Order: sequence, then structure tokens, then C-alpha cells
Amino acid sequence: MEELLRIKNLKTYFPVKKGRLAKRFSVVRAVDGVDLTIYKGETLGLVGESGCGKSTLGKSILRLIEPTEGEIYFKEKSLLSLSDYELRAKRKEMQIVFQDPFSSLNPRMRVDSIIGEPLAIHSLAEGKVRERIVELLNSVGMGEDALKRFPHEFSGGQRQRIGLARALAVEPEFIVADEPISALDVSIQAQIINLMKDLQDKFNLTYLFIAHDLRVVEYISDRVAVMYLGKIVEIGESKKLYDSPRHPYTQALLSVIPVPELEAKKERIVLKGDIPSPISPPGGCAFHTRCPVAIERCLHEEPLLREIENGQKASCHLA
Amino acid sequence: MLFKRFIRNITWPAGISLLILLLLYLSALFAPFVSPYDFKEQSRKYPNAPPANIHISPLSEWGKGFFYVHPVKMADVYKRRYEEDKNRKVYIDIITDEGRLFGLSEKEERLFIFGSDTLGRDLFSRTIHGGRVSLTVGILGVLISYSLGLIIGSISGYFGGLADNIIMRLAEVFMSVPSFFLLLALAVVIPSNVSSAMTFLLIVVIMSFIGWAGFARVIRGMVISERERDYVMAAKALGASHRRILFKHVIPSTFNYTIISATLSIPGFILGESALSLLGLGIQEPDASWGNLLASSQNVQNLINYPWILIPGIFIFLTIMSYNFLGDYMRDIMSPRDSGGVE
Repeated sequence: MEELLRIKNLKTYFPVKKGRLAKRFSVVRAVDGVDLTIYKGETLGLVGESGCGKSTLGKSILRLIEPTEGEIYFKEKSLLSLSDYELRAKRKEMQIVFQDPFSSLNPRMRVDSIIGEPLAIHSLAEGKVRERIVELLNSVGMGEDALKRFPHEFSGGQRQRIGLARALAVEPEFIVADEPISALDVSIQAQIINLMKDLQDKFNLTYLFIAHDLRVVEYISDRVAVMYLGKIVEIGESKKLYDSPRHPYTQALLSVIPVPELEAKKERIVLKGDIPSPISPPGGCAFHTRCPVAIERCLHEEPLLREIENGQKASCHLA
Repeated sequence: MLFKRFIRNITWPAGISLLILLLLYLSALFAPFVSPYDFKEQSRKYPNAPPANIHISPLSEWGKGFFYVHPVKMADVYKRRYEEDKNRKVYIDIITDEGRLFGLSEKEERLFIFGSDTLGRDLFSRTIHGGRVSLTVGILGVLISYSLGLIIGSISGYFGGLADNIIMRLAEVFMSVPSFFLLLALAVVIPSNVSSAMTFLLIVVIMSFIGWAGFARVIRGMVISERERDYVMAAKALGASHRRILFKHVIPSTFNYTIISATLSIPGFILGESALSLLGLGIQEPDASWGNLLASSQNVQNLINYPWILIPGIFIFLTIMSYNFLGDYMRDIMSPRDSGGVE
């Protein structure tokens, strides 16, 4: 498979002020050393609890949030070494779809200017902008009648479609979908997911699909990565990972997916406690504070992400 | 469209205010036409004449004019007492031969509908001309200070960091300058032979440069909250430049507030000019502004004997009330409750 994006040891830290008078800074380690490869044409699902750094990772990859450290290669070219100007041109190739369709569209702009904005920025489709906008609207299942309307006239699902059309306007190869369906009604979620799948086939897109709904991720993803406290703890092909999760955190996550069968017997692994603060993550394995099978070694030695079998990797001493 | 919504929902106070403002601005614009006399013209025979009693003509005399006055004559020079000559009627022409809106048919008599000042100048003509200064100072001042505040504030809020720090400290310096003393100091510095128009411009510019700071701070706050919204990040992801993000997304988001706040701060500028002129630091005689017309009422004797010199104050009051009502109305129609969109 052809590699599209490679991330090496990416870290995104946010400084936080502490203390009222004396300025003491500490850092939130939102993304704390992530290595990841995304292949052309695939959908990589990214799951984890809220606050584990999924969205920050997605936005850091696009440099919407500047990473603190690490390297990102998009089609073999380093993204972090680009100047502001070069980066703006590069943005044509990678796009993002946001979680909240209510705040991701400018409420003061009509649909045609919203979708037309990327065309104007990159001087695309000059002379036939309107046709192109209609074409984009059609490709996300909307009609020409939407052109002159404002975002607040649409439902959440329709707005998410408009957001998709805007992202597609620059003909990107790679789209970060930052929880694109978690703000939608369940009945609409399936529509958007299927639309995204269709668009992927049609335009040969690569997705980084961020979500916390495990079933949705299983449905859409070729591979899945599980994040915990700014790090990837397990990654592997979707089917294998769901069938035989190796990391105890993944096992716990998967054990709580409801199964629609009466007789289904599943043992739920309920994690105790909350996710530790990313300001001062626990030493050793970051998960040891909540791990049901932690041993002495986990307290002192940080496990590395290592291959368990057939490309499935996990960072656990016991896997 | 905002304009459509503005007209469709108009309320009584806002409608009347709008009408008053329109009338005032039109009269200021066409001041030489509306006023019966030149605002500098002195009628030495009629110092401190009281406002004229205007009578409606009986139907039979409508051919000569709809209104008439009895000509006045000074009866007591020391007390400035005037007596009407009840036997004579002087009719008021609408659109006179000299191309004025109205005037007396007998040129040797004088019509002072607001009375006259110590030099026998027509107070009505002076008030109308004074409106040119007083009514534009507000709009011009708001225009300058708000564009400054809008641009500086949004740059400060959008870029943050060091630029923000420097700009905000600068704004604090501006805000801590006691503006009135600064104006007094500047009035001394400005040479006395500068024309009225120049003084006027200086006043506006000075008041604006003091006034932008407070507004810039508010805008900065709004921009800081706005720049974190997803649609701004989406624009960034699309490759929009900072300038585009600022002017297309961030600044327009503050327009609701800007329009309301601008309307509500126009009176401040009008009052500022009045205060300065009242103190003799603004527009100088013989040029007129509402402020310097009121200056003559500083003398209590004048005020007691010739109370009509307060009429320009009524104009200030009307203008400010109108702007306030209009501002309130703007706030109502643009309140966040129904601003799900612009339409």
C-alpha cells in the first residue's frame, strides 16, 4: 500500500498558567509522542475517551494547531518545515470536517459563499464557480435551492453535508473527519457515514476518522487506532482489532459495546477511576492506574508500541 | 437584509426618532435655504428680540399669505423691551424671491422665530447652521474612532501574544489620559487664527483618538471568543490568509455590536463638542454650533431676561434622544435572540 501520511513522534503541548500571582507554567500533554502511518485510500479510525487528544492529534496533523515537536510527512514532504505561505497552498490537499455543524459554518454567510470560499482562495473553477458549487452540492445529496440560504435554515445533517461539500471543493486527497457524526441524531448518522463512504470511493479519499462510537468506527474503518492519554496504545486492522484486542484498555472499551442479542453473554470490563490528568500523566505505563491486570513492571517501565501479530501493534507489557 | 428588517419592524419611538433626525440633517444640509437670514447678518435695530408671535391669517387674506406677524419695535432700549404694532400685518412668504424657504414680505421688517441674540442675529438661522457642525461631529467622530477601534481591536485579539500586549497597554494609556484636560491643553496650543472648519476637524480627530481605546478593548474580547470558533478554523484549514479570515469572518461577527454601540455613542461626541464650544474652545464666533450658541446662556442675567437663547439646547436634547431611541431599537432588532442569521 502506498503511504500518504507519516507521523513521527508528534507532540502537542499546551502551556497552562498556574498560580495567581507568580506565573508558573505547566503543560498539558495533549498529544504525547504519536507515531502513525496512513495509507492512501484507507480509512483510519481513531478512538478513545474524550480528552485523550484525538481531536488535537487530527488538528495537529493539519497544523491547525501547531505541534510542539515531531515530524509529519505528507506524500514524503515534511509539513512542519513549510512556511505559512507554502502551507496555505498545501491545504488544498488536506481538509477537515468538524464535529459541530452549527459552529463550523459561518452563520452570516450564504451557502454559495461558504462553499465558494475555498474556490476563491485557491482561484479554482474560475468563470464557472456557480456550476462547480452546484456540482459539489449535488455530490453531497443537496440541491441548487440551497445556494442562497443561510446555515441556520438547515438541519444538523444538512449542515454537515454543506461542511463536506466545502471540504471537497478543493479536491483534497486526505480528510480529517473530527467526530463528524457525534453531534447528529442517530437516524442521520447512518446517512452521513454512508455518504462519506460513497464520496471516498468516488473521489479516492483517505480518511482519518475520529470518533468515540466504536461501532461506527468498526463499520467505516479499514484500520483502527486507540488512543489513551495522548498516546496510541493499540493499532491494527479493524477486524482483527475488534476480534482480538490485545491492550487491556482496548479490551475494556470493546467490552462495553452493547450487543443486540438477547442471549449474548458478555463480560463487561468496567474501568475504575477517571482518565488521569494530562498535565502530570502517571509514570511507567500511563494506563496502570486503571488497568485491571497491571503488574509491578507497569509502574516503572513505559511499554513501547510493538507488533504483536500481522501488523497489529499494542503498547502493553502483557500483550 | 438588515435594512428590510429595520424598516419592517419599526416602532413608534424609533420611527419618530428617525423622522426627527432626518429633518435635522436635511435642514443642516440645506441650511442656507431653510434659514431666513444669513447666520452672520446683524440687525442692530433688534438686539435680544423675543421669538415672534406668528398668527394664522383669516381665510380671506390667504392670497397674501397663510401666516402674518405684527412688526415689532424697540420700546425700551435699556430693558430691551419690544412692542408689537397691532395695526400692521406683515405676511410671511413661503419660498421668497431670494430663494429662501420663508421670509417676510416687507424686507425692512425682521422675522425672528426663535428670537435674536445680543447682536440682533437670527437665532433660528444660527441654530440651523450650527446643526451642520453639531450633527456631523457625532457621525465623523464615531466613524474615525470606530474604524480605528475595530481594526486595532481585532488585530490585537486575533493575533494575541506580544502584539496584543503592546496594543492593550497603549489603549490603557489612552484611556487614562484625562480627555478634558487634554482638550483644554490642545485648545491653548491650537493657534487662534485657525479657521473654524479646521478647529472643528481637530476637535473630531482629538476626540476620536481618545475614544477608540475603550471600543477596541470590547472588540478585542469579541474577536478572541470568535477566533476559536470552528468556522474560523475551517477557513484556516481551507488556506485562507489572516487578512481574509479577519475581514471576512472575524470582523463581520462584531458588526451587530458595532452598529448598536456606534449609534449609542454618537451623542457623546455631540455633547463633547457642545461642552468644548460652550467653554469657548471649539467653534469660534461668528461661526455657529449648538454648543457655542449655548455659551451665551452662561450669563444668568441673559438667561433670565432672554430665555429663548436656550432653544439650541432643545435641539441637542432632541438629537441625543433620537439617537438613543434609535440605538435601543437597533439593539432590539439585532439581539442574539433572533440573530440565528441575518435575514
